[in-house]
Amino acid sequence: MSARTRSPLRAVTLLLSAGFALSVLSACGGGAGGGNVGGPVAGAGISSLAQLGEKIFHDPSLSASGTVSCATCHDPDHALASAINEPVPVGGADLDVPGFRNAPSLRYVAQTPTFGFDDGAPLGGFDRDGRAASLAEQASRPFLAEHEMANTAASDVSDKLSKATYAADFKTIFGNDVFDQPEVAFDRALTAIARYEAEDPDFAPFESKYDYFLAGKALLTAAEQRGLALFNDPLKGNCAACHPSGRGPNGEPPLFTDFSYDNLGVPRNAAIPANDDPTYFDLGLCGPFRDDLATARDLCGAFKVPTLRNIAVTAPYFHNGRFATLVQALGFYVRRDTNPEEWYSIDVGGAVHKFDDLPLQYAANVNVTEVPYNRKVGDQPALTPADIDDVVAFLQTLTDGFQL
Amino acid sequence: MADADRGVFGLMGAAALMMPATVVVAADYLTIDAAQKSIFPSADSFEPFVFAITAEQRSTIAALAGAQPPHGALRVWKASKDGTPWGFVLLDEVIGRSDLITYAIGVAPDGALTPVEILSYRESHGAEIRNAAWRRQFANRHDLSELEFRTDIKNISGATLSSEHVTQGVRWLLALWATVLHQPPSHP
Amino acid sequence: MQLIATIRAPSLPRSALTFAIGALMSLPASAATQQELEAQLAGLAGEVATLKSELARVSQEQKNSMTALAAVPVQVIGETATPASSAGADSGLDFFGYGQVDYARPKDNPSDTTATVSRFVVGMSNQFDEKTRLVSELEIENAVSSADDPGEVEVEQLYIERSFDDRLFGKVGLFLIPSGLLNENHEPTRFYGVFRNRVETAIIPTTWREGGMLLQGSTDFGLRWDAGLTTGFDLSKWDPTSPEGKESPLGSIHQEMALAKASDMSGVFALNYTGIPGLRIGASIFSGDAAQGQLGFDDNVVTLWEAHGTWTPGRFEFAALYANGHISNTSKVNLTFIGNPTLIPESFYGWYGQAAYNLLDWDENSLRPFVRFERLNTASNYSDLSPGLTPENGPDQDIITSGVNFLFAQGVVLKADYQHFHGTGGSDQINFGMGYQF
Repeated sequence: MSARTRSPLRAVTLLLSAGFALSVLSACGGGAGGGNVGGPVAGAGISSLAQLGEKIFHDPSLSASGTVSCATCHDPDHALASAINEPVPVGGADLDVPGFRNAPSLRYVAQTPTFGFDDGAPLGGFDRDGRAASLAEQASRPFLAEHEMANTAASDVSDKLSKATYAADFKTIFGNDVFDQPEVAFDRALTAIARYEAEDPDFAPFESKYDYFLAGKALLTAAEQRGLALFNDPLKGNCAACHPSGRGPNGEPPLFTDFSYDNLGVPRNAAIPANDDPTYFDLGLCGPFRDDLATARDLCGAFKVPTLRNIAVTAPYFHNGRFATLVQALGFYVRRDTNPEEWYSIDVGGAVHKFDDLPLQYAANVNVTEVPYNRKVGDQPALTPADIDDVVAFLQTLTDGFQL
Repeated sequence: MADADRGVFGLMGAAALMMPATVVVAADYLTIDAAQKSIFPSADSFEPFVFAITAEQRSTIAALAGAQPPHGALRVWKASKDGTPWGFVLLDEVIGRSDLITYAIGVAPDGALTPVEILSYRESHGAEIRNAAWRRQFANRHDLSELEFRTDIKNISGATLSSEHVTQGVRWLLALWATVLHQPPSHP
Repeated sequence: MQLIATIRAPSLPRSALTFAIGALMSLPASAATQQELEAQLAGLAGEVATLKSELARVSQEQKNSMTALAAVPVQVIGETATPASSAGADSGLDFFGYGQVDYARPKDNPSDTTATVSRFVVGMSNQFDEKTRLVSELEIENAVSSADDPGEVEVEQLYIERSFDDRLFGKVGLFLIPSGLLNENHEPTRFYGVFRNRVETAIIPTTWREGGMLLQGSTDFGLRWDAGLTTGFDLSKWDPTSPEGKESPLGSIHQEMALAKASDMSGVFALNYTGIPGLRIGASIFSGDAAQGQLGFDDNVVTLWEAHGTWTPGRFEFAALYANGHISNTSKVNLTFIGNPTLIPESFYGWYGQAAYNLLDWDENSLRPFVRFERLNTASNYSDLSPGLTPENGPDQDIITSGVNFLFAQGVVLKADYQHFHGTGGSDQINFGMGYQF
């Protein structure tokens, strides 16, 4: 059974929460950027708290190696995703500890609703498994993760903050004695990062070609139009079912995710060192990094639907970075069931081991009911190679920074 | 109100006690004088006519008139020309859709009805009953059997309740006339 | 019973006297002319005398009945006195309502059979003064309205009406648009069939109301005109992923004055001629920009026009209506929707013809069989998009409805009908319903 069940109510809730997030964002004053089309209106500048957060976000001295900052894997020049096209980043004091998951783009991350269940289906939350309840909570993990910035404790981070060039700003905002309590200082730093992520217009620019198109200020090429049609068509790509492409009920620009969870049966990625252990499986909602849903067996293997904004510049794709290009990723969507041999490992006996990144008992969790997965070997894929090229052309219109 | 016995309204209406203020204002649109003149243009005198209805007469009227909407005030004048009886002018009120319609009609000594005059119509919905052609449908009818709604008196599409209720009201007035106001010499 | 009746009876003249005194006191405050006042007083003088004699008579009746001799229905007096005052004589407040309870059984999929309290509507009007009244209607659809239930609570009408003279009314607030035959007369006793006809549901979005101002005039020769400036539709509400826009293009983008976007206003003009008794012919046009200043929407004018007629020769009742809608400049918006199931049509239309016959008519009962043919297309044309992307025009849908309305008790109706659908793939359907209006 698929982890997702879709309800119109949930879609509305979603759009509302997205709209709410947007209105909160604009109410808080936004950043200095212009150019945003149809998104929240940017204010005069971001708050001093957010400015402090920006400094922390970009400070590699806060890591054990002295070379890793948040911006290392969330590079402003790469739509706040990783600059390197590797499935997982490396971290640790000596930059030799491999990670487990592909670092996602942080663009539009603040619009994510809090994790919860709607009509029994999981929704929202931060991280690919939704385990962080807030931006600040999410921000704490990389500081302390062994494979990332590898600090040993909050006090470790606090020490480094007290020696940072902006330590004075930190004290100005949080009090001269803020470093006397390392736990508090760490917590304040996370708050500052969260404010930065929520306020800075670079996190939600809404200035893709598609935004201009929605606003009636730019035209799509013929290939982009065909791609959009295939993207929306419930009998073709059916992408919009989880990555809505239309404005919300109050005119909010689309975020290209409904924040739901789905199990796509993405093939195992041998390039992740952890996968050398045949008993290791990254099962998303039900573990191993998230621990509160370990018994929800039907959710095993489900990951949060990501935004497709900037998707063309945020390779690799999927939680395990299994695909390096959009053509591959789209090919997987539409040929997974018609041509499984193209994607999965082959058993000793020569049989295709479909859904090879899931323990056998969870293979039934994979979504095989919705278009384009509702096929079997011998069927025509939902999209032809030419169709895929058109959809890729369309997806490229979702990259921010479009100039008229 | 389908089986309303209007006896008490007739009785009290004759005393014009129910809503004199409304009757006065009703004259805003078409004055009582103008309505009387319009109903019997040749008459030169309209005397307020006071009468009582017995319980027996009430039942008779109710049986003759059939279903009735809620009514408001009733007033009656006796018209004459040079002292010759010229008929009765009856002013009545019925609920249209949700508010009262003030209307009047004349009954000649031979029982012939005149066109209906609308003195006041208080809601826009159904205001079509002011149509002259619709109001003329009542003229020269003598008998209750000639006053069937839809067949004799046409419905006004979009003003069904108003047209039906005024028709029912006129039936009551004609029944009143036949039972109380009209006293044929042969049946004293 | 008899005893109760005789106790109640004497209170009548007393209350009548109170009315009389109240009326006299209120006279100076009214705008009566001296002539009218004199007429009034003359009338009252005689009438008070009558009242005295009537009081004596009622007292006598009371005595009679106490000796258990009288067959006088005095109880009727006591009862009927109450409606007299509730008829609005001394209070401007009035309550009214209508409702509809329906059962629908698709022949081929009995599991889709539904039964619901389609509508429960309570209305209240208040006469502030002789020329000014409030009309309101509060509607509950489908019985229960909560986050988990299908019902809705709606303010269907809320307007102030002022009569300027005998030919001119003005409305301001939320009111029904004078379009078609049903929109202003949508109570279940007024239409044939358990459900309102599809044309006046899918093409004309009955019950269609907007906020604004409206003037309504009438002439003695039977012409009524309406002209209004109102809120309109909001095309940014169009959901290309939902089938709703295919069911009713305008029904999916109407605003119903629920925080309506009102930067663009619409105009409505209607003419209705009822100068020949038994005949009504009329037409209306409503037009206005539905872009409402929303980003990406520009000059999307929604225009709906219709023409209608009813004719009642003898025991027959005929009705016919044609309605046509158009939305301009849809290409630009549709390009952003391409590939989705429901794009915005450029035009849509529908018509119907209906015949009913007053077959049996006794006392207050009336049995009226009817038959209606409808044809409609909610997407008869799409504006051109890029080659290969323009959706195919929608199908013509035909609906034949035949059934019977049984009216009784002046405002109650029982209905049954059979609906045959063609062109929609829908199953034939049997419907039963109850309705009332008061």
